[in-house]
Amino acid sequence: MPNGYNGKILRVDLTTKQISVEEHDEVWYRTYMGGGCMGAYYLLNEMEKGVDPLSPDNLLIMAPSIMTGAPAAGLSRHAVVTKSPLTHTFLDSQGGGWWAPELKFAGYDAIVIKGKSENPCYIWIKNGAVEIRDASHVWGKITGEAQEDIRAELGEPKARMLIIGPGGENMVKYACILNECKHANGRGGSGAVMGSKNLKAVVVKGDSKSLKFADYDKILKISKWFAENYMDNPSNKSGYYFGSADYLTHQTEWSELPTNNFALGNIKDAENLSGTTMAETILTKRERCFACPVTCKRVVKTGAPYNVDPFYGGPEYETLSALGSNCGIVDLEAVAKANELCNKYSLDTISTGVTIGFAMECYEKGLLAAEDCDGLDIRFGNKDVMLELVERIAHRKGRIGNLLADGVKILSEKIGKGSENFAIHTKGLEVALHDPRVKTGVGMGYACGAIGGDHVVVEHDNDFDEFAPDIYVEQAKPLGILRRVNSMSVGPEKVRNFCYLQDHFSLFDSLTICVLTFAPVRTFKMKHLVELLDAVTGWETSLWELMKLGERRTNLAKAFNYREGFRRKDDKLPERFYSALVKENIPIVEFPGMNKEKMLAPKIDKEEFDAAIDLMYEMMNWEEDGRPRKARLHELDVGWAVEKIY
Amino acid sequence: MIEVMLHLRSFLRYKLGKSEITMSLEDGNTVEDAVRKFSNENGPEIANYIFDKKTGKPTALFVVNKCQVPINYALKENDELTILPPIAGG
Repeated sequence: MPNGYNGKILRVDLTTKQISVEEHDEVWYRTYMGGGCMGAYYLLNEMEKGVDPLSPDNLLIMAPSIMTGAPAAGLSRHAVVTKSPLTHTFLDSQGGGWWAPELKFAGYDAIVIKGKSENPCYIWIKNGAVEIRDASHVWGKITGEAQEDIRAELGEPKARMLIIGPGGENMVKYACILNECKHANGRGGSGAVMGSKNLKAVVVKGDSKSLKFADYDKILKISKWFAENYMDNPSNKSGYYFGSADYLTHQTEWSELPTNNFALGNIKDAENLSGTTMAETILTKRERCFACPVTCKRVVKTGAPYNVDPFYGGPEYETLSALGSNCGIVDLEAVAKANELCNKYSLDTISTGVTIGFAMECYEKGLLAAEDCDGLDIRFGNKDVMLELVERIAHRKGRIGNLLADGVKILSEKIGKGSENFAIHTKGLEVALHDPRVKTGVGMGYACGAIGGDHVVVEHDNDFDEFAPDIYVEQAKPLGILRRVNSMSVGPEKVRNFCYLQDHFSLFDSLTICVLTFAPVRTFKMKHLVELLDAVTGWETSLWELMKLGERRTNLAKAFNYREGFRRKDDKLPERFYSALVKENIPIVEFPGMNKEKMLAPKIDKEEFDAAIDLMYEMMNWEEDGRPRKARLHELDVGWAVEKIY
Repeated sequence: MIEVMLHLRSFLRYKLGKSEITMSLEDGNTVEDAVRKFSNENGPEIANYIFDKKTGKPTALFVVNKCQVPINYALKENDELTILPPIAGG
């Protein structure tokens, strides 16, 4: 019996109803370890080029890692890996909560699903036994109702499940997957892939004693250290109280809050949306993921007119900005309602908000035809229309619901008339709520990340700039990040940091560990990551070995995208980010070394940014058009991938 | 003497129950002088929020008149100062 993992991958073919178990040796587990890297192995190996993401041929891989389920902070997560229906790229959508440890306790390290069920179904896994069961009676139901019906039917009130609502069933291209109705695999449309397979839920129940660890006492010791120290981490000092929503206060303070489809950097009364206001008004509870004391999740409740149900949690920063300021809205209760609806219907709050914000700008500019709007006054600030649009998107109701359900890229292609210039997406994925004009490394992640405009490709630039706390800079040193670099730089130092951080975050996504708990910025230091992995598995690993894991995932994802036809030219930002961010007319201070122009009106210089990406390609040892070199793939012990792209 | 407005956001607003206070400082006082004085006057919980309790170094971010500034920035009459935690979004 191995330590940390079960040695079993569950395979389910929904077309034939065939269920099988695949076993791999220790070398395979040590090569891929889990999450995005394990998912990339299957996706590139087993899928043909050009598969329709919503066809039965698309694979849907749900993968925790060899560390998942160990009782330590940040080890609750899993990846959902598939070909994205939104971008047609590699998709690795990560989510926390409670499902992934339960899958490990139930006897499996990952699930690989293919085919399409003739009728709605769900997969039920209990202590190794697997069934495909009828889900006709819960198809069409919102996530919470379906979840409770399934639990009641199974007589398992503590079963954990990945589940979709009507958004996934209707194949909204940015539909997500929920667990506990508030933890999401949010980005890229994995919920639509579930819907395309007539798969309502994947339900698991296991025995926590079944998973073995090499040195349980060491894990507990490291866990205890975390519990004693995490509140000293600068981010956690307020993170516990306000969650990620606290970031909105920063964005507001220096006018970098995405507002009105990223046209502006601030909005009057933005503080109404802040984590502090939430804590002072509608917050009822702070929650956490499996074995994690950080407690960053929010639970909110309101009275009339919105009557927000606390069962569906509460909004985080991305949601507050996407469905709030980015739509010109500063009503916290309305945004909390939108968050509840997205969790009921399984919609990604980022893509939903950015798509609605884009539609609002098109409407105000007269680019959306009246007959496409179904009589709605789709203006910035119209919170009732924003909520109505969430309903219509989830159900693909009317012309406007259908138009917006396909995301910003397709919508802008249909509208044309120059709307492409303010269509805020990269490779089709709506950009997250961090303006790249003030964080160029995040911008490179948007432009070059395998899944498109995601904000968790690298640690953000401001954590290593001239203002960052010493502790962040110190903790990044084992990665070779030895100097502070300005947030708006696109010089070689920034590119090098990007390469290192990209692979570091890629190892996070392969070990499915939480960025809010591990270095370079959070509580666990680099050494703790290695110590924890060794305590879980009994192996003697190193940061070097783990960085190779990260590089492996980065390059397999790049190879997948290359095979699908993505090239260097596709690594670009929306045009809006090459013009200056409109800040408030703010008073300015002066101090030695400050760049007043960049601080007042930040923008990305297209030529410099392109040169930075070219340099990054050279540092990553990719060919000019984006193909990983043969030697690179062999060096990463994935030589089998060569024949996929050569 | 100069007077500076300290805006209380996030944890500080939550714990102290108000949005701003006025501080009287010596001419030439820096942001660090101001925040050390403020934390000394408001107890260890506030001090631990702004400074690392082991090293004593600042872990917060400082904003003057809507611009992020280094901690040695010399404050002027009627400057508006905000203290923020270094949290990233997600």
